[in-house]
Amino acid sequence: MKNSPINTGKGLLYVLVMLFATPIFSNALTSKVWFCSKTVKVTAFQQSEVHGSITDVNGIPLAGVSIMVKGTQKGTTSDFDGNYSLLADNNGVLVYSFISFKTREIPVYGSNEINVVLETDITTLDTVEINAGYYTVKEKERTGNISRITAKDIEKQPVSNPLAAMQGRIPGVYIQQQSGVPGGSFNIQVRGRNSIASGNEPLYIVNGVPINTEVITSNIGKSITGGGNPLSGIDLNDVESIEVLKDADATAIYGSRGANGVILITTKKGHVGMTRFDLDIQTGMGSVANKLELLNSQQYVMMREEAFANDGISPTTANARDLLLWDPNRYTDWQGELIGGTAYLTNLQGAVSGGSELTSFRIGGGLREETTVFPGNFNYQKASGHVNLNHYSEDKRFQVRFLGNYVSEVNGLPSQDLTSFIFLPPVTPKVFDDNGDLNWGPEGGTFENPYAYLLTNYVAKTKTFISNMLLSYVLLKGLEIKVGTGYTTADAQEVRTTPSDAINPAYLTFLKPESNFYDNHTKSWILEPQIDYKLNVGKHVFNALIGATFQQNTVEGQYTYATDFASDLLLEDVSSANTTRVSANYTDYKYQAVFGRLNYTYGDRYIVNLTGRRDGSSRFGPGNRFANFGAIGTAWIFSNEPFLKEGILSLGKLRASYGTTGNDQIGDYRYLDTYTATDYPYQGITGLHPTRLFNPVYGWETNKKLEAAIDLGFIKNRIQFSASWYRNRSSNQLVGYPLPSSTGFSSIQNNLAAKVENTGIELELNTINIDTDNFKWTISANISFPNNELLEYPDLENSSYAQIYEVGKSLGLERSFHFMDVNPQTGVYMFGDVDSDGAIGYPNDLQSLISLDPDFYGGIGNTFSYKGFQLVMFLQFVKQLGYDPLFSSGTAPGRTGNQPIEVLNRWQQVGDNTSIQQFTQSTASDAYTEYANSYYYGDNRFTDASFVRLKTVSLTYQVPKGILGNLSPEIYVQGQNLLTITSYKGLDPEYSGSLSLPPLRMVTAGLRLTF
Amino acid sequence: MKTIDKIYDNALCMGTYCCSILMLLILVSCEDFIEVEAPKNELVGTVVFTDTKTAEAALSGIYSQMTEGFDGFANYRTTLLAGLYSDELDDYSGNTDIVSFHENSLNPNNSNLLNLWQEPYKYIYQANSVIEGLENTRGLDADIKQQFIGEALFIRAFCHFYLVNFFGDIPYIVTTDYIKNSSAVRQPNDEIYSKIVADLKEAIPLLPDFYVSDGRARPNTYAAQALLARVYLYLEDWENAHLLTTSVIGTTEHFELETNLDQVFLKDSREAIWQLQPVIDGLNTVEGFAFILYGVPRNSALSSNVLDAFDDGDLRKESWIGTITSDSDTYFYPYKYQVFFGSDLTEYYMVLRLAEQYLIRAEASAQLNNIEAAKADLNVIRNRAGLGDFLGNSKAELLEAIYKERQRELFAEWGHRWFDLKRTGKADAVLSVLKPGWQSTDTLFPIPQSELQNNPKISQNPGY
Repeated sequence: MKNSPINTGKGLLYVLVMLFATPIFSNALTSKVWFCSKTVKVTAFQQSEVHGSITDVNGIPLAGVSIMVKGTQKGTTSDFDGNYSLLADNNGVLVYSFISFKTREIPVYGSNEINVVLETDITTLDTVEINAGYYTVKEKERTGNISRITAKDIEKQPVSNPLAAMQGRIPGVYIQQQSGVPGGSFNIQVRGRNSIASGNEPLYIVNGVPINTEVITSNIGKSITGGGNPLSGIDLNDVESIEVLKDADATAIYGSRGANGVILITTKKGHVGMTRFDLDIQTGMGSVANKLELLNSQQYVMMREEAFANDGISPTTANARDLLLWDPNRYTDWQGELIGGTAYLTNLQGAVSGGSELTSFRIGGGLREETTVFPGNFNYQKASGHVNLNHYSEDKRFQVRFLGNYVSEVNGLPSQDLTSFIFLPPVTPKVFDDNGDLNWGPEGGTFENPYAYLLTNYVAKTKTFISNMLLSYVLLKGLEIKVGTGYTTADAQEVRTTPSDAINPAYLTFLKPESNFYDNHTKSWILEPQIDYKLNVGKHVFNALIGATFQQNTVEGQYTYATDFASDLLLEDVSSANTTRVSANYTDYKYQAVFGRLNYTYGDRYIVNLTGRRDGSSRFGPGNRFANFGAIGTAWIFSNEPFLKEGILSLGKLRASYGTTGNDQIGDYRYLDTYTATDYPYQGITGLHPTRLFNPVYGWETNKKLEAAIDLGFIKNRIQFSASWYRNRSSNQLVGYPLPSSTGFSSIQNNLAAKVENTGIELELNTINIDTDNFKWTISANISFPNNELLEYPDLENSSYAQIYEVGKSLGLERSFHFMDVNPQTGVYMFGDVDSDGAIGYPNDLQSLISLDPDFYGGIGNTFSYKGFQLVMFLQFVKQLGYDPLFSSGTAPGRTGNQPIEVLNRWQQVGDNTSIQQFTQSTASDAYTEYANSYYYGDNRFTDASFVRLKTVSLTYQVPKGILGNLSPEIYVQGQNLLTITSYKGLDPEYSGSLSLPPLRMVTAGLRLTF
Repeated sequence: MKTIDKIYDNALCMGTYCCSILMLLILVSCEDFIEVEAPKNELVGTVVFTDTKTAEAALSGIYSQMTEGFDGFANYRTTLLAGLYSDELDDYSGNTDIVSFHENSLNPNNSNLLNLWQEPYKYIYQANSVIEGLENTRGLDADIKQQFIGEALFIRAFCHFYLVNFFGDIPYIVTTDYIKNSSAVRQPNDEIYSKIVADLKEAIPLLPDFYVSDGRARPNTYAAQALLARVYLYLEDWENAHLLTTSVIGTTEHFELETNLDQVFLKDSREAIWQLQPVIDGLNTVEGFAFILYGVPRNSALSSNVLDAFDDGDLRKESWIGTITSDSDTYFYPYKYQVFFGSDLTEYYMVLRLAEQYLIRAEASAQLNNIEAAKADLNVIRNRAGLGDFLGNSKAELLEAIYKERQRELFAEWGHRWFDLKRTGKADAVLSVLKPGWQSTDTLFPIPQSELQNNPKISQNPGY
């Protein structure tokens, strides 16, 4: 190996030493200038102490207001009672600023007492700093497309995952919850699907530290969680804001990892002032909102008998166990039985924060427990703790900030999502026998008892620690050097146990109780030295940033199969197993980059923002590891033009950006030809087998983003509107290119010359309809119209995607047989025979082009405040197609397995006109062939799955001060997924791709207290 | 002026500063930092074939994978699916992807069908990587190298043999180059067979004439000869089939028929030419575990056609067929493997055995009009099963008797029955009576859908 860790280490050490040493060195070098300016100021004017109090318009003291002497670094903040004092020049000007209040400037004029009243700012556009990752930017001055949600949106929802909290609230971000199970998976796409096959996951950054997009839990939990999601290790209650960077201007600084957007999560910080305690207690319950209407026993038996009659076959114990061996009069409502329960939620959060002007802190923690709707005692527990420390040196030139977040989750679930069993025949034998043991049907083992999965438990214990330290030093006025460091560990310990009770006694002789363990340790560190420079010359403002990133991510996993336990009670202890089999996985990922930004503003009107990054990643083979990315963003704040200063327009801004980003979401080592050990030795020799097909030459996928947008604010920004248009084109597609099995494998990492385009329009409207002293009504709404198109694919017809994609169509394309009707003569489905060869055949008759992409989606939020009451209602809507529940059982109506009630409209005799074909139970019948055609290719397997959902309702009442002494608690009631308006007949329209537990309808109540 | 100076100073200062840092960054921005070592749990390909032990491990990996699952191409699946597809087994699973084998109504999306296609090609890739790895290596002992290459060639031929019989025209894969392989075309049946013959002919001299392994768990030169004899039988090259079977049958220092039928499928059976060692802990063969019944069948049971094929007094019916009665129904199951489970490994999974060689030679002799020799071989098998000598005299009668004997002797073994029905042209006549909806095009399985999708040069078989 060419790698020389010593050299790398040396290099790193060198940089570190230099970075810390240069301030000293440079201080000496420049002390003249620095010192000079100081002396000038000290001698020039007379100073005196100024004090006073700061209140809002209602006379309530404001703590934590920043008071600065204009043009200097000097300043202070108000204490808990709103009082302040500082030394100021007699002819100086004091600047009072506080978040969401209008900034005031008051000249001292030699007075010793200045009391100030601050007015609330209707919109915080001018003061709100938006986190853009490596830098912050004022909302008004941003050139890129950055959307955000803040704690006030988040705390209205009884959810635990950041992705769930974002659903419907951010234009251009499509989030689909794929499972209602705690810790379940999400599908997220920022501005559509850029990549044919590589990951379409955005880059997640928590307090400056990138989070692994690969889920740390293994496949052994996949059948219950659907794969999990990378953000479950974040404590949502600790989140201050979530920013989504979408266009080139915002994402290019993340270079190779910015193609699918960047999601920045910032946690809550300490505040200046008296020590404050925050407490939040919440409890509630949830259940599955909608049930499928299925056949009852009588209808079921009738369906089966009719199917046999149609096929001309008589039932035997081989093909009709349910009719011949089971009791046709039994009825089990499997939905009620398996997913009809109530899940309970308890959530406790607490935090202490406070500090002085120089040092502030926030320490908090929380506990959350959720049970499931499944029968049995399953629950999910999340315990979290976080620390946030911030300290400035006396002269405020040096800053150190530490953020630590720790989340421990214990997810105890059945090993399988029981939703997949709701189509069990209603006539199944009883679940338990007279002795209370699991019943396996007559003759032992003729019935797959789903209760067995309640005994095979899955427990995942994950621990996520994310820490970040930022050191910064203001070297010269406007010049700041920073080092950001991050260290993250994520550990998962999973076990799935199969005790003897869960094993069919017919097999107990051979199948022994067993356990599967999976331990995964992910470690990651990041080091990002940066230099920030700001220069104001008259109307010219320059902001420059240059930095570098060094990151390493190591994953070590070990899978252990264990059996031969002395007792079922020891199943969770691997050392109690007499037989174990172990296999391991290991990956090492290294990443390095240099990045920069140059921002120029002229006269508060014209802004140009240049960003760039050079990236190197170990995921590529030698020679293909580095690539450059960059973007330009511009903005014209035309409302600041002198000719528009007056009038109702309070903000008018045109933005445009163009640039490139990349995508390196592929596995590690795909360029290496390696062999892995087999599970079992053969003749005493441990075997080896090739791990993958390797390709030493694949390179980066690039994504070119273009955006144009307009932001408008009217009547002092009471009406804000913004519209963005984007066009993203990704090329050199990195794919795990599907290969025919004749190659021995199913795919290879490769680049494709294909070009994919995502275009779209995103509209956002925020209005303050009524704003009086007692009553306030605001609306915030957004809608996105995405469009996806495969622009180019050279030689598509000879590729593995020949039957899947079509140039000019979306990647969400489903080529289908066109459903005509049920043939009234034969009673089977008919499809369009496009090639007129007399038969429905793949691929020639696949002419119906269906797209599963959403047509549009968005959300509308209404907030009403009246005195102490606040009512928030948020509607989410999506227009899309989904899978018809008629096919979700996967079995043809007539075969063993329950069906939706709609199947009763089936064809029965010649001349019947209906849309559902005859029952069949034989796979050799024509009806079965057409069922299979529908199931795999028919466009009748899709149906409208659009919906409007009352996603969140929250009613809060703040008890006024005085009733409970000085306390002013907030009491709230929250509802999630209360109502869904849809024509979709399945369990839930949001995700119809597989049979999984839908998002639950939750109702909670809670109390929030600050003192 | 002063401010401008200051700005200038500051800018200058910042400039130097940035430059120095930038230079540092560039210094370390070399490839070094992002160099990663090979994963700790994997071995780089070039290393594998420099050492006898690891090269042998790459070969053993194939055998181990062949028997590691509960349901693999070389482990129960071929027997089960071909048994259901022909007239040997009845389905009790209710599983669509299995029932449709029994009902001869395969959908190209069938998951079992895909596995039946995918798995042999996986072994073929591995065999090719062994061959290429060994051809490009120096320093390995020449004999060892020869033997390993011989085994890999044998595996390659073996896998293609099953593929061509299930699917008809298929790509014959002789390289690990995925670019060539991913656009490989279906080659005509006879081309496939001539390549199988060539591989086996090449393997025969490379392979040793003894067993390198404990038992007969790795193929030697006789295994290659026995397989080649079967290939010649399918090609109706009677002379070569006769020649090779004679060579195998004549190797009495290794092979003889077990007189006790209960010992044929044991680990130390003298009748075995090639067996796979079961690797799953606590289990003997998967077929023993899957076929033996203790109640109403959950997967499959022997069909009445198999039972009806046996004459009274046939010892095989007693020894190799199990019976269970549940309520008033009686079910039959293959009982060649008699161990349901158990960590004491007494049974190996039989792939090639001597009885088949006798029946091949009988058929070859009959076709060569050497009736007496044919009868002699047939009677060896009949007599062992407790049946008297075959009494007919005409060639046609004799051939029918041999086919019948194959049905009885080789039932529920590696799809022999299904392949025999096909190669003798009887599939239509026999199965159209038994299976509603039988079509002549059902003699070939459909090519799996994903293969058609991922290789546009592959076309579907007629009828699908």
